[in-house]
Amino acid sequence: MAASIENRGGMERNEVLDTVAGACWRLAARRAWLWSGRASLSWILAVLALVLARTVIPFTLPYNLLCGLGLAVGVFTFLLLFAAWRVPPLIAAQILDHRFEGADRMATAVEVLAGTHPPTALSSAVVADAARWAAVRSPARSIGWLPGRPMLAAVGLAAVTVAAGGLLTGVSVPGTPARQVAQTIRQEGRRIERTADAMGSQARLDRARASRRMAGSLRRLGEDLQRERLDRFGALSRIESLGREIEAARRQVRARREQSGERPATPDPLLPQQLFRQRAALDRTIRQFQEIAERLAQNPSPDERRSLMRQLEALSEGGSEGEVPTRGREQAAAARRQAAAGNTAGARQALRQGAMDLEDLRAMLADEEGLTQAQRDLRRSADRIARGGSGAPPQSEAPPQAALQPGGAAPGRRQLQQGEGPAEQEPPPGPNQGTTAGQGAAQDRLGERTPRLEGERPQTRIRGMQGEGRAATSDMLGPGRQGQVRAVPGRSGGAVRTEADRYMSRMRIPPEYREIVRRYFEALAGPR
Amino acid sequence: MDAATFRTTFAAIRREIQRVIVGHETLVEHVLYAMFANGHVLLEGVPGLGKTLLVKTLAQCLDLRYSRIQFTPDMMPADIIGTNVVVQDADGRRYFQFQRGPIFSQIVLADEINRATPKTQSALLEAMQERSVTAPGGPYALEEPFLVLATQNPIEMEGTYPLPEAQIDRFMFKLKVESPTLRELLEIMDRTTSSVPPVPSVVATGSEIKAMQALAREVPAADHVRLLAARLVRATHAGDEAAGSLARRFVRYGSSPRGAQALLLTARVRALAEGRVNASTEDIQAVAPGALRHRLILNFEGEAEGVDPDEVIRSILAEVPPTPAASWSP
Repeated sequence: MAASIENRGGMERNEVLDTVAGACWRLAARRAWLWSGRASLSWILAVLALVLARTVIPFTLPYNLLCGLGLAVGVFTFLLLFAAWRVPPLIAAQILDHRFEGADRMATAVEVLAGTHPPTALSSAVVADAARWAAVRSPARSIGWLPGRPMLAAVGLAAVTVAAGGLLTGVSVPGTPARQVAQTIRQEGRRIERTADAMGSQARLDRARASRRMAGSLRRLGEDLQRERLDRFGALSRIESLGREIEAARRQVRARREQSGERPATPDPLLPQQLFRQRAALDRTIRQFQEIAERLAQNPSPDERRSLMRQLEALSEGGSEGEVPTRGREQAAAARRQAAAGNTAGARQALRQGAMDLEDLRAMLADEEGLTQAQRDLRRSADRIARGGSGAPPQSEAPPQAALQPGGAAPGRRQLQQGEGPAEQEPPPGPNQGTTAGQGAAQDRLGERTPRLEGERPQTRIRGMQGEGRAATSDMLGPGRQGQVRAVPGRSGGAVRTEADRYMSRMRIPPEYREIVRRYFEALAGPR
Repeated sequence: MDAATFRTTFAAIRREIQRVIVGHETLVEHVLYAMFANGHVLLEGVPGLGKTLLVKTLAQCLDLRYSRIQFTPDMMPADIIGTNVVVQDADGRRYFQFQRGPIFSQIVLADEINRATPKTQSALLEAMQERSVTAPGGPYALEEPFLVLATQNPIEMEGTYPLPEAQIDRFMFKLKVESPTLRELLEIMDRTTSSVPPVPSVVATGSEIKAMQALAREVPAADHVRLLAARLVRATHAGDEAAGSLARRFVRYGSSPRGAQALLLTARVRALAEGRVNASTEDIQAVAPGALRHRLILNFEGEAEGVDPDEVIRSILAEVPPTPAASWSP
C-alpha cells in the first residue's frame, strides 16, 4: 500500500511537500518578523517614554540615534531568529489548514506521507486531494513573509518619536526640574543679552572692534536662548560654539598685541581684573603723555621744564611700577631727547605719537578684557544651565551655611526681589522679617536650644584673601592748578560693574545677592 | 466503492428522503451519518414532527427490510425478539420452533421506546451492540446492515420509563427533531394534502450500504483530529483536569469511550459526504452534539437548573482548541 502511494503520488507528493516547505520558511520569517517587530516596538516605546520624560526630568537624549538603533535591533533580531527557528512541517500543514480552510487536508496528507498511520485504501486519495487543494489555493504563497504590522508599527512609532523629540524639545511640565532648566536657560539668555549690551557699549567707548563684533553675537545668543525652545544640551552647545568663537577672537587680539611689540607679561588667559589694571595703567600713562605735551606747548619755566624732563625720564624708564609699555618708553625717550635739544615741537610730536600707540594698545587690551569677561560670563551661564533644575547650586556659588539660616540675610530683600531680573531663587529670610516686627515669623520663634554634637567646627574661612598682601599706590600727575583738572570723558558703568564683579569674586557673597549687588552698581552707573 | 461513489449515493439518499421530508436537513444528514457509521439513532421530539415518516422513508430508499415496533407498557421482550411456539408437523408430532420477532429486520423503528418497561427495553441491548439475538435454539445473527431508529417523546412523563444509561449509550446519536418553520409548514401542507403523495425510490441496496460503511472506516484522520475527539470526551468528565467549565459544574458522569468512537466514525462519514477523504476537526465539531448529548448525565444542580446538555457541549467545544495551529503564533 505504501509503495503504491510512493509510486502513484510522485507529483502530488512533491506538490504537498513543496507547499509545506514553502509554508515552513515563510512562517519562520513571519514569526521572526513578529518578534523582532515587538523588540523594536518595545525599544522605541522606551525611547518615546524617555522623550516624554524629558519634559519632566532634564537630560540629554540622542533620540534620533536611539530610534535608528531600535530599528536596527529589529532587523538584527529578525536575522537571528530566522536563522534559529524552524517550523515543523506538520505544524506548518496544520497552520495552512487552519488559515485557509483546508479541513485538515494538508496535515492528514503530511501524516500519511510520513507514515504516521497505517496505510488505508484512501491514503493515496488523501495525498492527491491535498495536492489538488494546494495547487488551486496556493496557500503557502499567501503567507506573507515580509515585515508585519509590529515592524511597520515600530517604524511608524520611530517617526512619531523623532517628531515628538523635535516638537517637545524645550517643552517642560510646570513645577518640574525640566521647567527649572528651561527657566534657567531663559534667565541666562537675559543675562547674556545684558552682558552683550554692556560689552557693546563699553566696546564702543574703548573702540574695541573685536569686542563690539562679539557683543552682537553674544546678544543674538541671548535672544535665542530666550526665544527658542532649547533643551539643556542645545543651549550648552550654542554657548560652547560661541565660546569657541570668542576664544578665537581673543587669541587674534593677543596675537596682534604680540605683533605690535607688546609681549604680554602674564600667562594666557589673563584675568579680567589683571587686564583692567594694565588698562588703567595705560590710561594713566596716556594722560601723562598728553599732559606733558600740553605743558610743553605752554612755554614752561625752567623749573617746570626740569620737572617735565624728570617725568619724561621716569616714563622712558618704565614708570614708577614699570607699567609703561616698550613703545611708550621709546616715545618718551625720543620726546626727552627732542626736549633736551630744545625741539619742543618734536618732543610734542613724539609724545602725541606715543599716546596714539598707547591708545591702540589700550583698545587691544579693552578687546581682550571684554572678550575674556564674555568668556567668563558664558562659562558661568553654561555652569548654571548645566546645574539648573538639579536642585544644587554651582559649587563656586554655594551659599555659606550661615546665609541659609534665618537671620543670615540682609534686610531689604523684598524690595529688591520685585525688580526685574533673574534672581528668582529667593534669598533666605532676614532677621526682622515676619508677622511681628523685629521678632520674625511666629513659627520662627526660638525654642529650646538644639543639643550640639561634640566636635570641632571646621574653619571654612580662608585667611589672607582680603586686605592683606602688597598694596600698590601711584601718584596721579596733574596740572596742580586750580580749575585745570582734566580727565578723559567717558561712561564709567562698565568699569564700575567690572570692579564690582572683581570684588564680589573675592568676597564671600551669597549668590542670591550677587545679582542684586550688581544691579545696584549698574543703577548707580546708569544716571552718570 | 470509492469516495466519489459514496458521495453520489449519499446525496441520492438524502435527495430522496427530502422528497418526502420537508426541512430537517441536518437531522436527515445525521441519521445517514449514523447509518453509514453502523450506529443507531435515538430521535427525540414531540408527536407529529415526522419521526416515523423519516424512518419509513429511509427504509423505502434503501430497499432494506423494515419493521416497526410500537412500544407499550405491556409489551414483553418476546414481542420484540420472538418466541418459541409449538408447531405440529404432518406426522402430528409437536415441537418448539423459534418464531422470529420484529427485531429481525434491517431497519427497526422502535417507536416511543420509553413507553416500554426497562425489561422490554433491555431486549434491544444485545441486538444493538452484538447484532445478534440470543434465544432458545441458539444465538441468531441479525442481517447487516442493521439499524435501530428509536423515537421518544420528551414531554410525556406519565407512564414512561426513562431509558437506562446502558441502553442509551448504545445509540450513536441522539437527535432532536425540531418544529418546522412557517415556510416548511406550508410545504408540508402542500405535499401531504395533494392527491399524489410523493413516493421515494430505491437508490441503494443493503450490500452498497455495507460497502459504504466499510469505506467510511478507511478514511484517515490526522492525529490532532483524533486527539480532539478524545479531548472532547475527556472534557465532559467533571473530575478531569481538562473538564469544561460547565461540565465541571453540572455534569455527574461524562461520556463513555463509545462517545469518542461515535465522534470519529461519524466524522469520517461526514468527511466523505462532504467530498473529502480525510476527517477534519470541523467534522468532529459538527457531530459532537448528536454524539455526546445523551451521554452526559447531569448532577442534581444541573437538573435543578434545567441545564441543557447541548449548552455544556457548546461550552466544551468553545473551550477545547480544535488544533494546535489555532494557538500557534503568529
